[in-house]
Amino acid sequence: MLKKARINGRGQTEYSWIFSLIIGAVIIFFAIYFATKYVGTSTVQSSAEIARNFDILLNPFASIGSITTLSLSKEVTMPADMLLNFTCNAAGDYDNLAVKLDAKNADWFNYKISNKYIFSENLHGRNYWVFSKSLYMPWRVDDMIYIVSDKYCFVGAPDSVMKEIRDMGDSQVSLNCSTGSKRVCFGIQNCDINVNYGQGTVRKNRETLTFSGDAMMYGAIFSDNSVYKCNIQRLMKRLAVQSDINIKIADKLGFEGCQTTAVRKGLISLKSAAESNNLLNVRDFAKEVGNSNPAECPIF
Amino acid sequence: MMKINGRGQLRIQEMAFVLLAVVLLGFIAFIFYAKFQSEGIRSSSEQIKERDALSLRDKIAALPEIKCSEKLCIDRDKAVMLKDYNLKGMFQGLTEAKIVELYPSNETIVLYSGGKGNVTYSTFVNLCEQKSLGGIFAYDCGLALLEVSI
Repeated sequence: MLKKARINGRGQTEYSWIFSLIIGAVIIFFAIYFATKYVGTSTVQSSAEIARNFDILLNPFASIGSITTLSLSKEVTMPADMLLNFTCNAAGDYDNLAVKLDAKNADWFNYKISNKYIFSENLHGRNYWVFSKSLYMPWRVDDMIYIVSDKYCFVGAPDSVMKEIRDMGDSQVSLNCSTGSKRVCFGIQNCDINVNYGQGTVRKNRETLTFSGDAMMYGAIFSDNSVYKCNIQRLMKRLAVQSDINIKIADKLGFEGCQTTAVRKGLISLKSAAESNNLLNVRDFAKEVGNSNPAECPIF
Repeated sequence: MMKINGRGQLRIQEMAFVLLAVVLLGFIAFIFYAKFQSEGIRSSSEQIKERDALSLRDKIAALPEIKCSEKLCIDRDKAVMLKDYNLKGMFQGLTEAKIVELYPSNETIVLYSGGKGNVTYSTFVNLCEQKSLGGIFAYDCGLALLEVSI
């Protein structure tokens, strides 16, 4: 009888051990589950904060052109190694910035930027070089922002371009080629990127991109081909709106006695060319509009 | 035998209750922690919004669509026209942007309205209109406030 009771007691003790092990396993499971969830949430939160702060950081680059014709150039250091992917949506009129911490289990955070024109390839790392330049057609349409992480070297660039690169100071772009840097050649073939400055074309990744002016040329050199084409389309939409506003201003000033016939005609053509995204016509009409802006009552 | 079995069952029940209490305590602690975290997220989001609004205010003051042709000012005629165009993307991050004329008139020109904002930031701007004054075209300027709300 006593023996049976002892066996039963031991059995009960063993049972309580099994029971506590099961409950302990459940607690550990939940702890790991919530910890993993939390790490996931906090990496997304970090990516979201970085994306928003990065957008804010770019604001001065997007408005500097209204104060000065000089380019703004700065090296940006991220708090950690990041992956930044830029895509562009012309129909939605925005750039999409996908941010991800360069860590295991980190998730991508997508952030739409619709008040800037960002020209970049997919970036990886901690340090980036950001600079901006205004697009004039013939007035300042907006500032184009370039973000570069790779090393570039310019070979045979025109003096104006070389001076600008030199003036920007310490940057990812130099005039002397070193190993690992992408060669951007002007008038010379068989480089990573070939620029025909006179014709306004950039040959890159077996595709030819058209540009008008240095601001667009930098965009074609430093950004992904599809991002370049899409952002130019977005800028042309802006130009069409601005042309329309200027047509109305020309009408108003014309009514008050200002000679606006020539500029008005040019503005209508410019608007039409911008709407059809015809870059060569835009360049020609912008020149025409710039020359016909009345000095006594300037429209823009 | 019955006595021993009853004691064993009691121990199991005790342990079950202790473990249940531990789990509950952990759960309550997690709820508090989550709430604390969400407050932190909300607070950092507000800070980001504020920084964004301040830098956007300067960007809007320099919008090429409303900029004067020569001086550093906002063209009144262009600003009035702006609402006819779909440029809401330019006001990303803001709920409202308007120009409140202070002198000589006191009209309000709404540049963008996407709802009512909670906080408003403003800056003084030159609001000018190009006019023919005795056959000579010149800018007639007044003082205004550019207000942006988030």
